Amino acid sequence: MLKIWSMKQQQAASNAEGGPKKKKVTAAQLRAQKDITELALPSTMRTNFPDPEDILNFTLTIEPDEGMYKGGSFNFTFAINQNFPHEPPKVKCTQKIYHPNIDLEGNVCLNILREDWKPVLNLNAVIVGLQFLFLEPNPSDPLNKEAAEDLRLTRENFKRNVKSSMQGGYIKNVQFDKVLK
Amino acid sequence: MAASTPSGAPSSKEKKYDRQLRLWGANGQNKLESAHIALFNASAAGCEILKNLILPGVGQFTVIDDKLVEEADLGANFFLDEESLGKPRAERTAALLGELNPDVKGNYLVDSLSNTLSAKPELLNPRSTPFTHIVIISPVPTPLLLQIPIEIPVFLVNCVGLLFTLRISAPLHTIVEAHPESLVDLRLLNPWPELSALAAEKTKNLEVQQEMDGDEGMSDHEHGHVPYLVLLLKYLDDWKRRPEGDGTHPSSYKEMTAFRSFVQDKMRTHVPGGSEENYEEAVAAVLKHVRKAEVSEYAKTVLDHPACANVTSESTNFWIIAKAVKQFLESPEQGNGLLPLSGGIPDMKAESSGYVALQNVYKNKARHDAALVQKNVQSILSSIGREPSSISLEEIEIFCRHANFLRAISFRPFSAELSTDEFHKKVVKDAFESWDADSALINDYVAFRAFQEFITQNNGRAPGDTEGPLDEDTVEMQRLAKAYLSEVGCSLELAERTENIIGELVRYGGAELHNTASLAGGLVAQEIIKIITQQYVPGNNTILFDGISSKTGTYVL
Amino acid sequence: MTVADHPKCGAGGLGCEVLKNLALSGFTDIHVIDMDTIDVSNLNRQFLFRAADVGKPKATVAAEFVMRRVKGVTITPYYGAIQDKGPDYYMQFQLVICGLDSVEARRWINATLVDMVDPENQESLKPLIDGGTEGFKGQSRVILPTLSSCYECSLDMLTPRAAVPMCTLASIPRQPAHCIEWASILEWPRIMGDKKLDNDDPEHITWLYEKALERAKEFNITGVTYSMTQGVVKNIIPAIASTNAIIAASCCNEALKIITSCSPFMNNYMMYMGDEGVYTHTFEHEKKEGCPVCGTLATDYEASGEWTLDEFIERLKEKPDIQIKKPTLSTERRKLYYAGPPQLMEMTRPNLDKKLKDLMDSGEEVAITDPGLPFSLRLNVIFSK
Repeated sequence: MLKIWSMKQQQAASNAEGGPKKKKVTAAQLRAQKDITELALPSTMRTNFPDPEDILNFTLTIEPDEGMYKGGSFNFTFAINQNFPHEPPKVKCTQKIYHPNIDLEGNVCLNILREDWKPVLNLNAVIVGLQFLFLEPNPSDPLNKEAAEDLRLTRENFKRNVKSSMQGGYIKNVQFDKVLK
Repeated sequence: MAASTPSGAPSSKEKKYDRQLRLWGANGQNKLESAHIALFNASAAGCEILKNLILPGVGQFTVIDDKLVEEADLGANFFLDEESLGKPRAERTAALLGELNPDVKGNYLVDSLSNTLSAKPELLNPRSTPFTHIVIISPVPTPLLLQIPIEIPVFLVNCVGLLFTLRISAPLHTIVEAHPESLVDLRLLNPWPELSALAAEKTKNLEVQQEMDGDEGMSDHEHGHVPYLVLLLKYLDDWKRRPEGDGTHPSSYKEMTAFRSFVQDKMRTHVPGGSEENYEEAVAAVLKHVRKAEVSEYAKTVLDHPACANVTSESTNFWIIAKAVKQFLESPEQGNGLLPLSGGIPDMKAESSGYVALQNVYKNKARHDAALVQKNVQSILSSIGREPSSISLEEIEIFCRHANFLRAISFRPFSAELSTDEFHKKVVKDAFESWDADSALINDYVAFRAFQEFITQNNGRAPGDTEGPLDEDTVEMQRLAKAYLSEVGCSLELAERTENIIGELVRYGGAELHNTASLAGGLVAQEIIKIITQQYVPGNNTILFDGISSKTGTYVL
Repeated sequence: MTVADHPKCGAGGLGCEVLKNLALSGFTDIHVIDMDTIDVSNLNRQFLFRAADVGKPKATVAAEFVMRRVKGVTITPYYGAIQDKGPDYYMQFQLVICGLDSVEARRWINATLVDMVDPENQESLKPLIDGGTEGFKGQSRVILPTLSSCYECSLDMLTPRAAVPMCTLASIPRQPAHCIEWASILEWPRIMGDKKLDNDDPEHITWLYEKALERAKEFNITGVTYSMTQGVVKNIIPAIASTNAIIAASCCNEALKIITSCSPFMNNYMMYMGDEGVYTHTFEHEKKEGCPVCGTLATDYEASGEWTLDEFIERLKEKPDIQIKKPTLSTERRKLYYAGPPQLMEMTRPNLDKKLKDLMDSGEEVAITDPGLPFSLRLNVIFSK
């Protein structure tokens, strides 16, 4: 055991006075701190921390200013766990919306939230990805099959349905949440 | 193995063995449960080996040992307790090991290896032995070792201080399920008619953009879901027909790279996201999967083995099916130079129905190939006087699925090694000529070889296990090591590493340390399980472990 | 052998072996922590447990068994999570051996032991020996906190579990596993709402199995079984007694070498592969630059407790060796100043005018992130007297 300590001393410890050891910020917390404070949020997005002491759980609101979802206000919850950034944040839409890549339970199909997540990616990448979903809903491989089918067949009809869903209307017997600003 | 309950929920046995059934399956478990292991010398290492076989449910074990339990045993062997003092070691270890698993039958014999060989020869006669596998913990003098018949698999273990060696001697060992990383064999350059037809149909209008619903063109959705395998088949065909091409498939690295761009260029980029995943998969698969189907060296070794050509009524199912596969390979009407298809394909971007259709083309071909092999098997069985249906189609199908990964391992007998035959000499000389010879574990082998000589000359006494001065034993060990090197025809100078290992061996006087014994127990049990289940690939034939530097070495000695 | 205080975390597959090996290697005072109870599927390798022990805490049963068998050893079990204990607890040991099954627990113990290292106190450096197995393969490693590569340094080596796109599960399943994941990820919450899925509840697994089977049928997919459902949902890693024995003994071998200094211990990583022959690879895994746990060790920074936080930040910006422009600062217990987003900035702005002594204790660690820093910076802020 002594040998190890002499290695430690060779490591040129310059520290003078330690004092009692205090708890440190966890790696996940620190990384979340960096990601959150360095978010480059455009005017169409804002974050809200229901408990400002807890930076690992927050909501993101997206208000697209172009595209078919213009005029809507969409809320997502972000839950970051202690394995971040080894594991991606868990993101869910809190409203029932009509979107091919978001199902009625709020699950979101975005590659970097699952199969393509890497620890080098940051929260900004996720937010950009979410924003993109509202500009370019992707009818291929949907989470909401009806919506995807609709978009694939006639874009105009889909647009109309998106509008009516955002006003809280029914589409194929399903009522959607009113999400207009 | 008990079968699953009707609802699909596991039986109690499946629950208990769940974590291992995921490795070797019911097949491997059945073989394990039919095995009977004999352990000669109930040392700590011996008991740890048995522990790791009893827990997964080996059929039976028998501990054979003629010593009484001493205080020193308690300090190293977990399967002895204070109550055991003064009682036969065989009896006590068998009892405490037996507690590990009520499904395993434990037996013991208060006896030694030498006495068993002379007084109960039927126990070690290949025709009458109850044992399927034998574990021997050294020290065992060479003449005794040579009396054990080569028909029974033997695992000889030397465990001293921080070092141990395992020597496996076994009859010709065959493996169907070697568990390679993947069994995938796509045959992209050797497609059969049904596969080519499917590819042609699925890519008929690949280049035509759909303008309106119902026209002949392909929508972006369809285009982005053509499985990459189908894309590659189509583009390989197109490549061959290019006006500037020479009518062949891409083969050189340069051509492969060009072919990759050829595929890449056909991707639709006006789609959401700007690219198509199936095309990306196709491009990524070019170097890995675009190649001629070939028979691996391992499979060749099996199919060219004399045991395959000379199938008799004594042959195992393995060799009968191997012969049938060889007939398949060589018959122009059957494989025509190719092995039976494995039938597996990887997951890939596709619509469910498109993928399943493609998968079925592979599965059907594999089933068709296996049926042809089954025909061959049946006629071979008739020719050797066995019931033609005595080998099930299921067994044949598993064999065919693994045909390119078959193994046959010939373990050299102890006699060939200990008589230092020409093969042995060459292996050792080559090992000494390798770039890392100074730190290689061949140096340890030289010390262990001297150890074997020493115990043979001293009636089973290990070097260092003496009241006298240790130096004498060290000098003798060095002399024996040099004598061995001279026999092999190597430099007579002992390497520093060999001297150090001799020092360690003498210092511990043949005694086991529990921790090393435990590691040996794990490593040896893994090898025994691989041999019993005939799955995965065992080491051939000597494995050395050095706990000082945490290294292992394997040599065919 | 001298008396050694010794914890090991986990009384699972590796844990049972480690306890036996340490007890028979002469260690007389060992502590064991495990939060699990014994399950029937443990019995194929965790040799200190019998069918009658199913349901009892692993730590207690393991400790009692080894003490009964080996005379002269005291094993103190703790039935609970490693996270229940803090640095004071871990300080009493000479080294820690762990055979944990989760990345999260490994990261936690690693970070805790790295944080405990106090350059002034030789006793604070606790070697961590970590082992893990999968089928016929395994690895063992020696971590000297702050001196050699730590668990966090090697996180990138882990191959993430291959995930399938959510939309594949939802609309184009092709494999039996896709149907099972659909049942557990999408269908369970849809039908069951907030009811939590319990992977250990056979009724829940049966529900998933039946749903997956139905879906597989719909798409003509074959191969969904109960066992596969369990495997996918619980992410079961195959485990056998022999591999545990190899890896546990390798860990204990290094523990012995470290404690007795009898021969040099492993530097610092061994991989064991038993699938094809026996192959080991022993190599030095190098420390990762900027490792968030051991790469950014706190350095001392002298400050006056009378400075305001704003003054403190201005002085940091003047430090020539670091390029700080728009820093965010926090301690373990509070946010000091957040440069964004607006809500957090507003909330923390009043702190800028507060004195350091009112925000933290002398010696407390301040973690700083900044767009100009590729990693983070940790400072032990010590108030000058």
